[in-house]
Amino acid sequence: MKRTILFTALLGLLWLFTGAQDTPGAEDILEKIDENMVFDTAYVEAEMRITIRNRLITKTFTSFSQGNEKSFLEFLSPARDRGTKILKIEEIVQIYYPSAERILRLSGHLLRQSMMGSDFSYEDMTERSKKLREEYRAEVKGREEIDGRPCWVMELVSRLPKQTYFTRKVWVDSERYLGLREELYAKSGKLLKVMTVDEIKTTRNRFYPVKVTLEDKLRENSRTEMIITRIDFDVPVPEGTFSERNLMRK
Amino acid sequence: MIKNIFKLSWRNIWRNKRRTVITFLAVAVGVMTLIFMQSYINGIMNSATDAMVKLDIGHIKLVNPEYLRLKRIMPKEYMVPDIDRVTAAVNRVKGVDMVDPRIRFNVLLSHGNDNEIGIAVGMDPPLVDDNIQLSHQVTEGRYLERDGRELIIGRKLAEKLNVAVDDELLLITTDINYSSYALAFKIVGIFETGYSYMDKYLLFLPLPQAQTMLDCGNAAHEVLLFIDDPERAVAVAGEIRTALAGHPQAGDIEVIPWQQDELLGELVPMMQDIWGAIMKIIMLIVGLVILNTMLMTVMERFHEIGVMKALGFKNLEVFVMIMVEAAYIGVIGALVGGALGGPLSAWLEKTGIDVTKMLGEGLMEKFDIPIPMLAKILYPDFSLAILIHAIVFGVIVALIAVLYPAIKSLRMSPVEAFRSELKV
Repeated sequence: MKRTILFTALLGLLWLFTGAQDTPGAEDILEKIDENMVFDTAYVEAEMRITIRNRLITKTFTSFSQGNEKSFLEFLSPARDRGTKILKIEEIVQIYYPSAERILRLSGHLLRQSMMGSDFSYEDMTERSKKLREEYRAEVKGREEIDGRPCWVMELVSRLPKQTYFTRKVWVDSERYLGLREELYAKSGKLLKVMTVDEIKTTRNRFYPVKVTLEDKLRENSRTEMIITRIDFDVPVPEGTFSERNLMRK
Repeated sequence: MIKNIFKLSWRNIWRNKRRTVITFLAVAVGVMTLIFMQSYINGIMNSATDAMVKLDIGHIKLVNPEYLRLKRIMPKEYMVPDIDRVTAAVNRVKGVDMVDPRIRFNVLLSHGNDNEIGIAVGMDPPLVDDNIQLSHQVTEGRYLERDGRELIIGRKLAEKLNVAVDDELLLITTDINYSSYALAFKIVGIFETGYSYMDKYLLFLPLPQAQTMLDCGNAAHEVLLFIDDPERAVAVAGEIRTALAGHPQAGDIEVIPWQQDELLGELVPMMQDIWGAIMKIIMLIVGLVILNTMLMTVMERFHEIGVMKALGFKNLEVFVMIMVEAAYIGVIGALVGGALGGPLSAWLEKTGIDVTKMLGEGLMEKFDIPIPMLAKILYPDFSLAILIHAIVFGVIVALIAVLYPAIKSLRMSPVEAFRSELKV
């Protein structure tokens, strides 16, 4: 009996210690990550470097975005992709193909398709319009360093049963509240994708990743580097940018 | 004495004609059933193998080794380059009848707001029609022309997309350089093979259109070769390797005779196991019928055997007599069965059996195996080995059947035998 009491007391003490550790609530961290990503409008010029089975394919595009809800991408190269435009409004993606002069509307599970042959899916692209905090339950699992930066290691479990990435392991920079590395898992526990942030820029008190690498683990020897070559925040967006007519414009 | 026993046995079996005829029939029908069933099952396996060979494998297949390795993910970029040159080289090899290049890629299909994922097969329409009579499976609209921005699509896939003949369908794919490319096609026909994988996922389009979509020039994923004598595939494959040695990208071309095909190598033993088990069950049933009839025939004669023993017949003589009787019935029955079953199976091998009529159209749908498409008429495969096997089986079972009563009769005293008389 005495032993049981002692044991319980020890357990209690242990619990006290963990509780007293200097860890912000997981929910707070998620909220800060979401906050950091908020902007009004942005203009981006970027390069997508797809490496697959020792081949390197480079694509360039420009994009306008408004908040996290709307974006418009236009591909400039290579030749077969030139003129392909993607309009994303919330969770609906429309793609204009100049070769067919037709628009493809994508939604639902088809958003998991590879975007323009890269390791990114259309879903990965539209994902930022959703708030992490609303869709995932989070827990701080510990602290680790990534490239010399202190990070919280967080585990996110989906609140929704039908999430593509059911669990995520995220290394969050504990000073800048930015995910530096992310492992995305299916509900079965299979590792689907690994994302790493390779380069971060500071623009007006905002930390913004300018080089991100994503590896689709279901593709053999494949990764895609997304490199932002130019980013302007809060620029005026030309009228009618986020419209179907703009997609069809020659 | 032994000679007399043979005579006696022969007379014995004709003393009760009705009984003998029934026993006879059991053996004959049993043997006939075995011959027919084994021929039929061989026919099913041949037809399934043949279907797979024509549909997907060819007598000899040319394929990029990397494509083969990654086949599961359908890697578009690993192709057999420069088909014209390959065709020219291959056609110089004796025995090659047909060169059938195919392209296969996964594709996103879009019509209005309906999107589905499918598998597009680019091919030479008249060639493939020659081979698998694809045009006969087109239930609505027409079959493909040699070139043109048109396609035919499986019935179930068409239903999922809500499309009909003459509708436009948008095809989107990533080409061999990972560019995203789309073209609008006209649906000219809808096919229904009864094989649900094809009806649910496949669409066929002319090879040049598939090459445009993939931006691959005159290349193909697989080149199926059909030769005059399929049994010579391994030898011909060797000659083709030599003929292709001069090709600048010979390293990108692997030559595989159908006997070495991986899929077939997995499926054929599986099929043999399944049908082998079914055949064993049939043999068991036939064996039991023969066994039962023979056993009854001898058992009901114990009384008679008792009389013979009382008259001074030796044990061994009675034993031999029973066995010889069984041998007469077994051999004659089995020969009659063989004489009926053999020609019947051989005749059906020529004319074929209309399976759809036998099973009804609806039933075919339930068996999701790639047989129905080419096997609406099934040709049993009869051989002398099957005939001999069945006859030997019939005789041996007949002999085994009487072994028990024959041994029993050895130990019986005449008095016992009198008492055990069965009144039938």
